[in-house]
Amino acid sequence: VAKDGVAAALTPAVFYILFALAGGDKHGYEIAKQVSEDSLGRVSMGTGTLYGSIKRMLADALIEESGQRPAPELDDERRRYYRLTGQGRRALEAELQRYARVVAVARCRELLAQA
Amino acid sequence: MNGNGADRRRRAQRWYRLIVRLYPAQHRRAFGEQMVQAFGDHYRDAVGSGRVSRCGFWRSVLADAVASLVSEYVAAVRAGGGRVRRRFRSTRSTSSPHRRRVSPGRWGTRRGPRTCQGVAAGQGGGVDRFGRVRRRLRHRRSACRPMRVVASTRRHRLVYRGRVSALVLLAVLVGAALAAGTVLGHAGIAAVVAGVVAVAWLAYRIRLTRLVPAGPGGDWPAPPGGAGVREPRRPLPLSPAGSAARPRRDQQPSGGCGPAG
Repeated sequence: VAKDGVAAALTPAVFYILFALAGGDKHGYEIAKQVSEDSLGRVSMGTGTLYGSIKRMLADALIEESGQRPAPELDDERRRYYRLTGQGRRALEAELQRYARVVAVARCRELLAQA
Repeated sequence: MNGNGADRRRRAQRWYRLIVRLYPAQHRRAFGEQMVQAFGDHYRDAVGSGRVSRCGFWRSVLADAVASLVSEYVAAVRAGGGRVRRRFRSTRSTSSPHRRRVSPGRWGTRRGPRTCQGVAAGQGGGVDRFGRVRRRLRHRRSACRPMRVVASTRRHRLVYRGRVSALVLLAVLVGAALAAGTVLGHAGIAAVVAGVVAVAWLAYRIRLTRLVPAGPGGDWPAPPGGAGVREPRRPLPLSPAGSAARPRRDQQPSGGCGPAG
């Protein structure tokens, strides 16, 4: 979110990671799988790209490390889980609203077929 | 995944660990282990299940690694505001307001003064009256070159001595040479030249070092008085130089002084 309150557009990688984490805490590979599933296989994030994005999102306080482990007895202790911060949730909502507005305008102009 | 598959996965993870070593140190420390773990999961799901061929898998991994390596190094340079400037600051004496002037001929270049400072102070460099770190050139080249462990065993270690950016630059140049050769119709010659250059560079930069235990008990014991202190030679007890030879018990002493019979 920009300083003047106007929501800045998110990159596809950041948007899909936020979208994946909106469903709950996840570790790195779970995020990558969820991103691939949500984008119907169109966005495929390799390990390097994924952790590069995670690093930048941690620095921007869009996500944070989660202390809670969903299944500690079944999982590797070295895994780190991530979750959305309040700022990340707001950024995701702003992006989704932006998409909704664009879709509404496209429908008004009959650029998009009515559902 | 069966035992064979698990072995392959572990081997793949070892290879990927080498790729992770190429990332900037800060990124590697923060996410290196997680990256290797995520890679292992990805390998199990993609190759272990037979969904993707190993060749295709590695192709996508390498493409992703190259792209993310470039972006991470660009981000690191931008975030650091230039490594050179930061190093330059670190060499100045905190008590002296004078800036350290750098002229390659006398003081050496700006490469890695943080590590050179100790070397210089301990081995003939020191600090001059303006608080400038004075370095000796013969120590600079070996001491200041960053080293990166490529692979290690219990007794040996394969190290890359040099900057990773130079390695990336070499890869770009080799790629450009191959592309140019292919376009001009001399792919074979270009491949040979690029290969020779790459092998020569790696032979120059990669070294196999042997690990020895630290302290007395390594290859040879430390001299008395501590490392670097040379004591004057003195005769060992009962040595021929310092004392008379002592006869063995079962031997008669020479000369006529012994008891007769």
